[in-house]
Amino acid sequence: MTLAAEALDARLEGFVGREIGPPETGPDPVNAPMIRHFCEAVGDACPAYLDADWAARSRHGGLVAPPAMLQAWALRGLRPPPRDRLVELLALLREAGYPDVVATDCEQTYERLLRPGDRVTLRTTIESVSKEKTTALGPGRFVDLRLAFEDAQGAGVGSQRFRLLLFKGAGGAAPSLERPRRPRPPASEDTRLFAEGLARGEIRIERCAACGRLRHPPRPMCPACRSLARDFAVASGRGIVHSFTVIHHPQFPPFSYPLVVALVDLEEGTRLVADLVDVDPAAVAIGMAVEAEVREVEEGLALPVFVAAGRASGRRGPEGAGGAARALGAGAAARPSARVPAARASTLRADEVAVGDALPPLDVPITVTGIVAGAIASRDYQDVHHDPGAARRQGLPNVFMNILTTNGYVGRYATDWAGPEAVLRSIAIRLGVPNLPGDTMTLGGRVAALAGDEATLAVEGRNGLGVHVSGTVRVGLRPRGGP
Amino acid sequence: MTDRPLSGRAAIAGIGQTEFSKRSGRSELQLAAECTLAALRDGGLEPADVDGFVSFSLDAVDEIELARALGCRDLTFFARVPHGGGAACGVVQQAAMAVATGVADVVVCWRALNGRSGQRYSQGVAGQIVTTDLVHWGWYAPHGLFTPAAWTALAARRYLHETGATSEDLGRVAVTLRRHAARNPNAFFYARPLTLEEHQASRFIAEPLRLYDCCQETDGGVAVVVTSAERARDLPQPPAVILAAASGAGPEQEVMTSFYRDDLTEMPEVRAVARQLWAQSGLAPADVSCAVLYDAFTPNVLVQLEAYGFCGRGEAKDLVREGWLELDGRLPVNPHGGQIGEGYIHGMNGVAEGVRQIRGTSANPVRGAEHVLVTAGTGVPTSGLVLGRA
Repeated sequence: MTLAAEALDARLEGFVGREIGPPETGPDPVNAPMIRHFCEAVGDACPAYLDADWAARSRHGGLVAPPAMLQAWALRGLRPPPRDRLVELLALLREAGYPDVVATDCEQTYERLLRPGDRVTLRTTIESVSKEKTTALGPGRFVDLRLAFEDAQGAGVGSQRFRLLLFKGAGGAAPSLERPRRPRPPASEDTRLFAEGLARGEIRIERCAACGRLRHPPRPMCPACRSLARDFAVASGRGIVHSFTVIHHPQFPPFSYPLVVALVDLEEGTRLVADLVDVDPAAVAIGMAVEAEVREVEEGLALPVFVAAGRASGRRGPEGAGGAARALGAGAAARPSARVPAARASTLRADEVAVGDALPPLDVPITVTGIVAGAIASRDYQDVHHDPGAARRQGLPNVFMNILTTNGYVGRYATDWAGPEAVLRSIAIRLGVPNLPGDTMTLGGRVAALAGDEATLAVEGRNGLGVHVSGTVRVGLRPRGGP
Repeated sequence: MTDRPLSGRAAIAGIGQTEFSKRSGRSELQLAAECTLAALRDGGLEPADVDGFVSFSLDAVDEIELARALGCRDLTFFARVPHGGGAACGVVQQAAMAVATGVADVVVCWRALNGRSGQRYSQGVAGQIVTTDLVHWGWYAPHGLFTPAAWTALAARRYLHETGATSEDLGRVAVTLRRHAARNPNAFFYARPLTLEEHQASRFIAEPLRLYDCCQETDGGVAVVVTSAERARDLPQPPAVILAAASGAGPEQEVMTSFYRDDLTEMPEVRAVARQLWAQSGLAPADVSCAVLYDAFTPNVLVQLEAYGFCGRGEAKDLVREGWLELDGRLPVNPHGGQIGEGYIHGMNGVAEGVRQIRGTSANPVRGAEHVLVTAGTGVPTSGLVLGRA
């Protein structure tokens, strides 16, 4: 290590363990308008935050704030920052060659729900500054902060661990933002009939024109009569699972995991391998009835997929093929529309839930408007969340979603599932690839643990680049055996 | 020509290997040169004696590069055996045929790979492993099915469904092999046995396969030297005579994805190899003292016990539960720990273990081992050997 590097480490060490300055009290008390702005930004319609009459009758006894807003109540917004130690630390790191900053981890624990009128005071401590690490964004150093939130009486209302990455953005290795794509089936004269069928929304089975025998995968000669003459039948799509696997590892970014791949006995007598989608992996079994349909799984790639029997969106076969072809021809219309499961109106009881239960997927279209609205509603004025030029200087193609908005989506996802009287106890998230405009983030989750009235949810949000967020949420449900 | 033109004509006279590690820190060509030289020295031979080389089509090393590194003279025979780990015994079959026909006198079979620090097979064929059969992979890769574990999982799921074998039975195989490896100083898992509880608690890779159902990824090289049984008798080591050597592919065969057969669990390619081995050697499963079964994944062991005729269809789980595979069992399997316990050199380390059992020099010698069955990759066109004493 060079002397300069040693000197830098020594100076950084001087910040560790110290509060950044005097406690700061947020400029506004917890209030309904800011709550509404935040709820609009993350699409949260929970009546506990928005409907005073409902909230008064609920076990909350009145309106409460989305717990994920915790930090927003204490942020300064656009008021100039004081010369506190965090500003000094970031300046030192900028001089040392780490000019860019992103938040990577946020772990919030909530002591109680905040209500309109609460005033929040924040104490921030610098917990650690790491050595230089190699990260996906380039070489950088992690700064861990510990935030303690108190109410006007000095009682703790929540705490937060927050991890920042200071890195060499545009000057360092630029992150790879090329959208990973599925491998393409290679074109071959022998498989052309299958590919042409998919383009028309059909699943074709090669047929010997001499003896009528069906065969799959296609090949140039009939293995029974050796004829080279061939045409095809169009599969009905109906079939029975002959075998399947649920793939967990390794994970390749264009796919969603756990990934169910099925080997299916088609009713025509041949077999076909394809993904089995829109299904709880734990519910898949050999002998299960399925239906195939052709979907544009990503731009320019139509593939057969299986769904549980009765769940297909359109029929295949000679009479259904035309409709499928029109759907594919319509481009975007062929893609499934955003899935937004209905928020539960009555709250789950702990004995209505089991470990392993899956949460229905939630699709979140990412737009510039949504990113900017979320950043402002969480009082995060970092330029990379509203200024495309600033984002580009940091090596990204456009503005990207801030961590507190992602946090809000994760909180909403948990309460949409658990119900409006559920109480969020903690949200701990780690960010991966950025949420960029034009993409869709799909949140998924499952119940990882149950203890008393509390469920621990494992949540993951993926977009076209890979995993954007992974984390856990602890949520209090209605007590067992209660009403 | 006799009616058994291959049996007993050739022998393995030398074996050599590098250390097995997660990071060899050197090229595959160097690994190949080191293990080949070690095998020649073990057999009392020199590079100048070598006139033939055989390896896997997946090996990254060219035999003429290896011959130049070693300073060999004229070569009269070189061949490649395709289809991944299915080649492990096929390379010895090629060498034995070359020796039996007089095409070559001393043939080196080698496999060298940086399987952990270089190209990792667990990462799949998504643009990584170059294959001539891209059309074949095109039926699977776009659906996300592109790792050996995922391909094997489809057949394994059906096998468990049809036979009533369970994940615990797969775990018992892993526990046995790790117990063997724990006593083998060359094994990665030396002194590190596994419990059934640890197996059952390990994460899923591709259901029903768990982490500990999967073999390792290993850097290393193994070579064996094949020459005539006659010449081998005059060399320093007790010869491991090749009593039978066979390759096999079945109807509707694909590499790892033979998904279109009526019965996914029958493994006709393994049965084709078995039929030839017993016919060539004049032996039967009951004559086998010890078996080195290819174990990329634990279900491979069960299907092979059935296909080689050690038990009937669906009965392998009972053999496992009854302890047949243990070192003191009726059919000790993979005394070196296999590719699950020792290391993954694509089955070539199993050939070397077969030779050590014949010589009596294994870390876990099976007393009085007279006939050793060695097998190659399962789920692909495959191969096998029966080795015996001179």
